[in-house]
Order: sequence, then C-alpha cells, then structure tokens
Amino acid sequence: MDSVISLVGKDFGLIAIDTNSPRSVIILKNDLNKYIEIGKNKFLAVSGHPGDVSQFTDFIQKSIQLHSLKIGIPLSTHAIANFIRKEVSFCLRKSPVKINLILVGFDDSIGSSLYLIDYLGNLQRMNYCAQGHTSLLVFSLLDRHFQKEMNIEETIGLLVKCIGVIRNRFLINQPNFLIKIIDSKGCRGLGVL
Amino acid sequence: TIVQQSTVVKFAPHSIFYSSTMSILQYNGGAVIAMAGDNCVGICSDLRLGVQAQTVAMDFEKVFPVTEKLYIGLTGLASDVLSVNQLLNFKTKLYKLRENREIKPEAFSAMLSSLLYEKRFGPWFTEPVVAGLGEDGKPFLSGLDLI
Repeated sequence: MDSVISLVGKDFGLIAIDTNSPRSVIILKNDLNKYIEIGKNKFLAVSGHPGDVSQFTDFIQKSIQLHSLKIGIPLSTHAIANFIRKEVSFCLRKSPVKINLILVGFDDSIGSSLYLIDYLGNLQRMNYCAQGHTSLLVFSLLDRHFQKEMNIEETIGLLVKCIGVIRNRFLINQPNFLIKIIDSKGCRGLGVL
Repeated sequence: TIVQQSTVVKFAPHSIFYSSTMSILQYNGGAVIAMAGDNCVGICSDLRLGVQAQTVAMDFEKVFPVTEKLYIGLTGLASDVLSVNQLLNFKTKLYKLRENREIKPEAFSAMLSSLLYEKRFGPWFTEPVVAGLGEDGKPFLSGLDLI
C-alpha cells in the first residue's frame, strides 16, 4: 500500500514517500512520517507492516548510533546497508520482519547512493527505485526517463511525472507525497507534493 | 549432494503469473552456466534481479570469485545468494589463515556441500555451481542442490 519512489542525482538523493496510514479500508492518519534519519546524511524509508516498521527501524537507528559511538567514526552508506541486510536475513528464519526499506545516503568519498533492502534480505544498490504496488507503474517511467547525474530540477520533474501516473492509475488515493533531499548538507524536506 | 559433470546448468525459470505453488527458489530468478574446456573453465550468470514477474535490477551478478582459480555461481533466493557468499568468504579466508595455502576446488566443493547440508531442515535456498582449476591446471566443475 505504501509508495516510495527514490532517485539518485548528481551528489544528492531524492525520495518521495506517501504519508497515508491505512488500516484496512480507513485512512487513520494522512501525515505520517514513514522514515528515519540515521546520522547526518543517511535516510531510511520503510514500508510494510506498521508494528514491524516502528520496532525494526528504532532498533536499526539505535544500533547504528551505538556502533558509531563505540568506534568513533560514522558508518558509510554501504556499511549501513549491509548491516540492515544482515539483521533482516538473520530474522528471516526466526521471526521474519515484513518490511521493505530504501536507504539513501551521501558520503563525501563516493557521493550519493541508493540501496534497496527487501523483506527477505535482498540487497541491491540502484540508481532509482520504487517500492510498493506503485512500483509496477513507476518503474517503466523511470527506466525510460532516468539519466545519470541529473540536476535537482530534472529529478523533481521526473518525480512529478511518477506521482502523476500514480494519481492517475493507482486504485488507492494517495494525496500527499513527502519529498526529501539528501546531500552533503544533510537531509532536508522539500515540501509535500 | 555433489554432482560432477562436464557442463552444469542450473536455472530458476521466471513465471508470468504468481503461483502459490511456485518454489521460493524461483522468487528472484536466475541462471548460471559453467563449462570446462582444454585446461580452462568458464562460468557465467545472468544479471537479472526480479521479484516474481517484475524486474527490479539488471546488475545483480551471481558469480563470485573465491580464489584466483576458483569461482562460484549461486542461483536461487537473492538474500541467500548474498548470505552464502559471505559465509564462504569467511570460511575460505579462515582456511587460508590456518593452512597457509589456497583452498583446492575439491575441498571447497566438499566444504560447500557440508555447509548446505548443515541446514538440512531449514535450507539455504540456493543451488551453487563451482568452477575452478585444480593442480596443474586440470579443470574442476561441480553442481550442488540446496541440501
């Protein structure tokens, strides 16, 4: 039910998350923040079962904070992605967490990167990604129009196109999409679309 | 279980419609082929990562180097492909530290087989193919199933 669309541009990452909180056929809350910020410029958007979402993301955030305090240097996006993947695959055979995550981060050494972590523990670094049922609609659009190293205006234009398709074709009404940008200055909100 | 052949093909076909009887090995899809030649081996894999019918990425390699002369291809559930690869990395590095030499393909294949059988009643959903060159360049191929 949740939609997350994420793109990587030149030295920044952009992510659009819908803000609905549904329970069966009712919308409980339409300004829910389905993400957490890890460190200064790493951003984790989650979708899936609500209980698992809050518990697991809290656990991840605090574990990584503890780790950074212990060793004194902040973890890179690649390290955080692999850590999350390890936790998810560890739980898979004990008590699976039914959540999908998209991690977007900015490291000074390699620029921006995007990682998709599945509920089964699949990890894939990608340039653009969509999560949820809307991925069926949005992936083809992103395959067609995405180019590497786009600037902010072009990326937002592409996001607007994707959200337009979702509003046009998806059965469930998702009126608000929260847009976040992650770059060297940190995670900032770009407003609601 | 190990089967030694001259050509080993393992594939998990993609299916268009979701089927409740579809095996978990076919969830992500993938194919690995290895072939032996005159003092050489070749191994290749497709690059697709899918979620049932939907393709998510086209750069997911399924062949990983173990040593300079030994490669392993892993098909099946992508999460287990990554987990088993990390486990094998760990074990071969430990082997190298303990024995002070690189692992031979036969020994590696046996180690992999027991690693998979360890999880007999809750298996790793991956079916590996091992391709390497043994002593004096003799080609070695083996294919294993998930247990």
